[in-house]
Amino acid sequence: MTAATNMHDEQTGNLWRDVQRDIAKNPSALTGFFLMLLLLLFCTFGKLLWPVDPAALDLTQISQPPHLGLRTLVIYPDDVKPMIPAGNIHALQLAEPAHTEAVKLVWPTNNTASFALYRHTLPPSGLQDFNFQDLGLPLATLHADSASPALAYVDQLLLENRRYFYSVVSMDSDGKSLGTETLIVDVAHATPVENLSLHDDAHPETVQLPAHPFGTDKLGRDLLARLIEGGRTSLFIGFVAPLLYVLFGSLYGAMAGYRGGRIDTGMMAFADFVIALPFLLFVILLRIAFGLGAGDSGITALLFALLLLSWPNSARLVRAQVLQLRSMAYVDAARLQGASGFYIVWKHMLPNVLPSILVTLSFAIPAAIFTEAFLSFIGLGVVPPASSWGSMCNEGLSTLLTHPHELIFPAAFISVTVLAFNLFGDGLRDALDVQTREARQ
Amino acid sequence: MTQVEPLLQIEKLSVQLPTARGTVHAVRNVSFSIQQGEMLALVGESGCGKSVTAQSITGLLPDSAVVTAQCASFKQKNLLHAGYQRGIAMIFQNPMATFNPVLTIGYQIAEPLRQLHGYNRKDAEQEAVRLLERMKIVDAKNKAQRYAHEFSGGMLQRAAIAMALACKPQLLIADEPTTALDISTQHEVMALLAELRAEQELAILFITHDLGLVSRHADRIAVMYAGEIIETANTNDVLKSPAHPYTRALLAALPMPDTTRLLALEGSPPDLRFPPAACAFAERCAHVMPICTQQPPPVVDKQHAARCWLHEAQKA
Repeated sequence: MTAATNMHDEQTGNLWRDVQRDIAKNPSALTGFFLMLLLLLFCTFGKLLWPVDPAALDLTQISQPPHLGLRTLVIYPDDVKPMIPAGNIHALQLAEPAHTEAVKLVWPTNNTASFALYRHTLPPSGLQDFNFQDLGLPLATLHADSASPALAYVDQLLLENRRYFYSVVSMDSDGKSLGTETLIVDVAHATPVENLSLHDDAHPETVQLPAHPFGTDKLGRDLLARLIEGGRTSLFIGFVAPLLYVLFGSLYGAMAGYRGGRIDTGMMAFADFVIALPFLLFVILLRIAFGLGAGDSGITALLFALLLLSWPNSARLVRAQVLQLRSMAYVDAARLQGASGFYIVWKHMLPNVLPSILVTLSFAIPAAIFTEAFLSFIGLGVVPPASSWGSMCNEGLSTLLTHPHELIFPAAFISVTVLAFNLFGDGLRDALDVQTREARQ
Repeated sequence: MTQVEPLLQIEKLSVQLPTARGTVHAVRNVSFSIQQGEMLALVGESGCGKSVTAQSITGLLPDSAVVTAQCASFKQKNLLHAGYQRGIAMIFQNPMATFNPVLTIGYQIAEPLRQLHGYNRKDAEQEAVRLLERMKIVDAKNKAQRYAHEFSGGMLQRAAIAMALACKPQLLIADEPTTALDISTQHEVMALLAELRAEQELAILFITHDLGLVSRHADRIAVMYAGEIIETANTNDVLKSPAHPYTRALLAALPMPDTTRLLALEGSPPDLRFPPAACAFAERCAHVMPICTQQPPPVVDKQHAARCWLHEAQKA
C-alpha cells in the first residue's frame, strides 16, 4: 500500500509494519526487545569472547568476589617456619607480612596469665569500657608460659584480601581483663605455589591471577563462563519448549475449533485429560524413563515433560477463538469470494488469533525458564557439570551470607530475562491489538 | 416481465438442520425465481427461514445441514453440490462483522478482485477506492487504509456493498442489510442498492422483516412463514390486495400515519422441529376453517400465488 503511506502515514495498512512502528514508539517494549537481543548475544557469542571452561575447578580460587585480575603473593611451602618468639617484644605486632594464607601475630607476655585474641573487620569503638563483642570474632584464648617472654598466634581462618583489626586482651588468673591492644593489619592476596599454573619466573614472589569479572563459585569455577553456559541451557529450554508446545497447542486447538462437532468434543476432552496429569510426577517418571547416564544433562527429560504437559492451555485458547471467528460474517464473505479454507485460516483467522498466541508465548517463555529453574533447584532438572541459571541459584544459596554474588548474578539474569520477555510481550500485544491502537495514538 | 430463463430458479427447496434437541425443518418446499435485474423481497418474521434460504443458495450452511431441492439453478447451473459459485455476492446483517478487524477496509474490498478477477495488487487497490467512491464514501482513498472499527455503521454497510460489488455479481443477496442501521442510513443504503440495480442490471434477493422498507424498491415480494413461502406476487398486488391472512396481519402491523393503534398478531409461530402437516398458520389465523388443520393448503393463482384454503373456498 505504497500510495497510501504518503496520504496517511499513521496507518500503513500492513499489520506487521504497523506493529513494528508501534513497538519502536513504545520505550518499554523497545527496552525489552534490546535486552532480549543482548541476552541472546550473551549466550550465543559469549563463549567466543570469554573462552573459559565453565566446568574447570580451581580450588585456590573459591568464592572470589568479582575482579578483573589480581596480583598475588606466592607462598612457598618453606615459608611457614616454626615460630619461636625471640628478642624484645614490646607490643602486639606482625611476625611477618600478612597474606591470605596466614597472619602471624606476636606479643609480649609481661607476666600476664592469659590472653584473648580477637579479629574484627571494623575498628573497635572505645578502649575504655569496651565489651568483648565489640572486638569481633574471638580467635583464641592463650595461657602464657612463664618460660617464654612472648606469645604467638597464627590466624588462618577464612582470611580475605582486606584490612583487619586484631585485638589482644590481657587477663589475670581469675579471667578479669587488664587491658587491650589493637593492631591494624592489611592482608595481601596470596596463593600457595603448588596450586599455581600461571607461575611467572620473572616475578617469583608475586603472580597474576586470572580475571573473574563475575567472581567464582564455591568450587572455584568462573561465574561468567557458567552464566553463559547456564544461559544457553535456560534459554534453550525457555525458547524451544514454549515454541514447540504453543505451536502444537495452537494447531491442535485450531483444528478442533475449525472442524467442530464431535471431533472438537473428543479432542478437547483429551486436552482436559492432559491438564489433569500431575506435572512433577511426570518429570520424575520421564527422568527414570530416559535414564540419566554419564554426561547426560537431564535436559531431554525436562523438555519432554514440558512438551507433553503444557500444550493444552494454548489449544484451549486458540480453539475458543477459532470457534468464535468461524461464525463471523467476514469468514462467510471470504468464502463467497471463493477463498479456500487455507486462505481463510491464514489471512482471516491467523491475524485475529495471533495476538493471543503471542501473548501466550510471551508468558510461556518466562514460565518455562522458571519451571526449569525450579526443577533444577529441587534436583530434578539440569545435572552438573552442565549448568543452568536455576541450578546456579541453588548452588549460590548455600554461600548467600558470605558470598552473595554467587546467588545474585544468576538470579539477576533470570529476572532480567523474564522482565525483558514480559516488556516485549506486552508491547507486542498492544501493537497487535488494532482496536486499542486508535485510543493510544 | 420478460419470459426468458430466470437468473436464479429454486423449486421445492427444503433444508433440515440437525441440532442437539432434534432436527429443525427450517425451510420447507420453497420455490421462487429471480430474473436478471429484478429485486425480490423475501419478507417474514425472525426464525421463519429467510436467512437459511439465502445460506442454502450461497452454500454457507454448516456441513451437517441437509439440503434438498427439485431444482436449484443459477444461470442454468446446478447450485447444490457445485461448491463455490461465481456471480453471487452477499451483504450481511451486521456490517461490523462483515469486515475482519485486523485487515484494512481497502484490502478486504480488493481481495475478491485479486482472488476472482486476477487484478494485480495496485489495480485492485485503485478499483477498491473507486468502488468506495461509487458508494458515496467521502475521502475514499484515505478511508480505504482504515480499519472497520474506525467506520460508522452506515459507512461500513456501504463499504460492505462495495466489497460485494467487487465480486462483480449478477445476483446480490442482501440479508437484512439495514436492520442494524438507523432510519436515515437505511434509506441511504436502499437508495444506493436501487441505483446499482438500475445501473448494472443487478438482480437482488432482499431479505427483510420490514415490509414498509421494500414496498418502494422491490419488484416482487415473497412472504415466508414457518419455513414456507405463503404468498408471492408483484409488490403492488401484495400491498393492495394481500391474499394470505398472514400477509394481511403483517400489513396491519405496519405503522401508518393514520393508525392510532397497531394490530398485533396473537400467538407464536410453530416449532419447526415438528412442522404442522396442514396449514402452518392455522393456529393464529382469524379465518381458520376445519380443513385448515387437516390438509396442506394448495397454491392458488400462479401470478399472485397464495398458499391458503380461503381462496379455494371462494372459487368453489
